[in-house]
Parts: sequence; structure tokens; C-alpha cells
Amino acid sequence: MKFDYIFRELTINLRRNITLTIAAIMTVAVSLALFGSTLLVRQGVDNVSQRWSNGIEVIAFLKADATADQRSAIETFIKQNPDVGKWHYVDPAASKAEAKRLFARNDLMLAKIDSGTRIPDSYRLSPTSKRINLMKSLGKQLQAQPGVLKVIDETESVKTVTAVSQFAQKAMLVVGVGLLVAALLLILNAIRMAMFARRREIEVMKLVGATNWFIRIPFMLEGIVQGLVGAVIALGAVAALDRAMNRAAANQDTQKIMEGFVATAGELRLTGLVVVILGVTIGAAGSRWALSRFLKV
Amino acid sequence: MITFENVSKVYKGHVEALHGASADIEKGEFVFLVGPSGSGKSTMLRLINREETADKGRIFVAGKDIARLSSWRVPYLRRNIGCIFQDYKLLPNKTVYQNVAFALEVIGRPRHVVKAQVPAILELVGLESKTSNLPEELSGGEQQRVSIARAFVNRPLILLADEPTGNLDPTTSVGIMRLLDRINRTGTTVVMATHDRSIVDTMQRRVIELDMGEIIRDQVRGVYQ
Repeated sequence: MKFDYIFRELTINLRRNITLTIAAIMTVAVSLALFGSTLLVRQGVDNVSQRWSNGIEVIAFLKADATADQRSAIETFIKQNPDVGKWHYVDPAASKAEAKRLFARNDLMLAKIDSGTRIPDSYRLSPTSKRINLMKSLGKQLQAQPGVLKVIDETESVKTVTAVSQFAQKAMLVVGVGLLVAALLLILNAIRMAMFARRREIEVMKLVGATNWFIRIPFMLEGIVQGLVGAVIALGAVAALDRAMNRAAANQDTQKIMEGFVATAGELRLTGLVVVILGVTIGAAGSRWALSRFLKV
Repeated sequence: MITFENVSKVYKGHVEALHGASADIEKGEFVFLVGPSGSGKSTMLRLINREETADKGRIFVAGKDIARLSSWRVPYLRRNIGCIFQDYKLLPNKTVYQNVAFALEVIGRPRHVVKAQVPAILELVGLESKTSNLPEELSGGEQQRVSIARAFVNRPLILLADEPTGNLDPTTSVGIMRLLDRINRTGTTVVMATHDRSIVDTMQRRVIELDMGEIIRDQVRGVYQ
């Protein structure tokens, strides 16, 4: 009887308020989609930019057949060069681990890495000053050393893309949070309208001794359903973005692993969980707020 | 069954609706509350089912001090108190049957109880042939019978009636009063606020008269005056 009743009241409420319900759901969906994509893109960019952290600006990958003499020569060059600040060596095992982490959820790339493609070891350097010429000349000198396969540096384009993506993330976050607040208020109003439409029923229920929870539950569920449906739509959008990022990454060849600038996929499951929990929380908070403000018991 | 001990109630700091009211209503009594508009009749009724709380004094209903009742217990108090009103307060989009069944459903009574009790109570109030009508298809007297059925279907200990005949013609009112009398004879305590002189004079029951929030007369087998 109780479940019948709650389900019946819930569907009546949702249908009676259909336009406001749709508005609330759409706002939740858009805000959470923005929020989720921001999280996802951030994880991707974090992966990429990690190797450029701690001031590292130049990476010299070594040839597979570099001899011990060549290696010690390179090391001596680095140690004796006054323009080199901090530096460290990344061995083949660590390089492979790094590549695997970068493409953790991309099966195609993982297969390439595991199929024996050699991920070269490298020296990573941070110049003593930020002057772009210094970075370039260091790169040239290293490239001239025997045994060096390829030198890459944190080019201006990498810096620009990172900066733009950080700005875009912030903007999306601001818009997402703004819309989330709008969604909360829309749900609050949807519940308030539902309570107004049902004020006679509520009055009678109080008179005959229905418990507060019994009166509240259909309204609480209404808000939660709105939040949840919005979250599920947002989840679809986020999953689509994730697929697109994966496909883009899969089309790159292994050379790009070295260059290190591929947008990689983030942790979709975690992002999805965050999106759904946020949606339900927004729904519950909106209806809870409406009930505590407008339902005197 | 109901005890008022020196009860005062002030609305919004100014209007004193009730001032030092004391009364003792026994189980199974039928009591009229009379007095001009604003004398405190409705306030007394609203205090009994704790729609309002007293500012001073104590009120006992069925042996419980209802001022000390925590708010989550209030619904359980109200399950022992039926209420009827001048404007019936029926749900316009529900049939007669659904209106009465609603009162049982929302306090979680199982389906078989609803199925057994609703037709029985509708027969008691004489509406067994109108179960699937909507309230707007009924006369005022019939609507008040539905509201009585709804108030009584859960067999409450107390029935509160706030001017139940206020919108009805004298003949229909007599029918409603017969019904309330019948319910009273089952042992239900009835407290009824009214302006209807002829009803009070005819019924010859206990009369509590209020004026400016004070009880100025409490008379067994009284008349309106």
C-alpha cells in the first residue's frame, strides 16, 4: 500500500509539473555535463603535463643501441654544462610505466606498448633560466651528442595549450557551478509548486495524522528523481566525450608518446560517480530546502 | 478525555484568543462551544489537536500533556481525533470513496482494512449509493456526511466539529446533528463549536460559552442564550 501510494503520488507530481520538471532536469544535465567534462579533461591534461612538471623543459631520448661510453659522455656533458639546473635519468622500465599510466584506459595504445614497442629511456633537464634561447640551444647541443635519438622541449605551443586548457577548465567550472545553483533553485521551485498544487491533500493528511515523513517522501523523491535523471543525461554526454578523447588518442602513433602531448582519457568511472552523486545531492537538497521552508508540520 | 488547565493563547503578540480557560470534558460527552466570532471557540479546537500550542497552562488529551508531546508524536495524537469543518475540506479530484479511503491510506492502514472499513462507514452516513461521485456532484449536506465519514473512519476517541452546519439549511443541519449524536452514542467524545441557536437548544447538551477568550458559562444540559 505504501509503495503504491508513494509511486502514484510521485508520478502525479512529476507529470503535473511537467514543464518545470523538464527545466530542472535539463539544467541539472547541462551543469553536470560541464562539471563532468571539466573533471575528465583535467585528468587528461594532468597526465600529459605531469612530465613537464618541476621545471623540466628539455627531454633527450636515447637510441636503443646507445653504448655505455655514449651514455657517460652525455651525462658528463649535462653535469658540466652551467646552463643545466636539475636533471634526472628515466630508465626504460620507468618510461614504459609512464606510457602505461598515460594510456591506462586506452586498450589500443596499451596493446602497442605491450607488444614490445620500445619506449626509450631519457635524460630530463631543467635549464637554469627560463630564456627560450637557452632551452633551444641546450636541445641542439644534446641532439648533436652521439646516442641521442630525439630531443623534445616544452614548446610554446605546449605551454599555450596548457594555459588555454586551464583557462577553459576554470571557465567551465564557473559556468557549471552557476548552472548547478540554478538547478538547485529550479528544483526548489518545482517542489514548491508541487506542494502548492497539493496543499489541500497536505492539509488533510496532517489532519488525519499522516506522519511528516509520509507527507514528505513523495516530494523528496520528486527532487531526487529530477537530479538523478539530469545526472544520467550528463553521464551520457561525459561518456561520449571520453570516447572521443580515447579515439583521438588511439589514432596517434607511438612517436607521440615521446612527445607527450596527447589528450588521454580520464577516469570515467570516478567522474561518473561524482556526477551521479552530485545530481542526487542537488535534487535532495533542493526538495529538502523547499520542504523545510514551505511545509509547516 | 480533554482537560484545559488555565490555558492562555496569544496570537502574534497582540490578540489574546484565550485567557485562563479551564474545563474538563469526560469521555463520551457531547459539548457545544458557543460564543460570538473571535471568542476563542476555534482556538480551543485547534489547541486540542495541536494545530496551535498554548502559551500558558496545560492541556491533557487522552491522559497526555500535549504541550510536552514531541512533534513527531503529534500525528499519532491526531489519529485519535477526527475533525470536521464548515467548508468540509474534501479533495475535489477524488471520489467519495477515495476521499474516505485517503484518510486510512495516508496513515499506512493495510489495503484489506481500507476495503472493509470504507464501505461500512459510508453506509453509516447514508452515502452507500454515492461512493463513486465527486464532491461537486453532491449537496452540501452530503458533502458534510463524506467529511464526517472521513473523520470517523479510523474510529477516533474524539470528534472535533468547527461549525459543521454553518453552510447548511436547518433541515439538513438536523440530519447532520442526528449523525453526530449517533457517533457520540458509540462512546466518541464530540466537541462542537457552533453559532446555531436552534441546534443547541434542541439537543440540550453541555454548553461552554466563551466571550473575549474567557469561559463565562459551563452548563450541563444548557441552551444557547
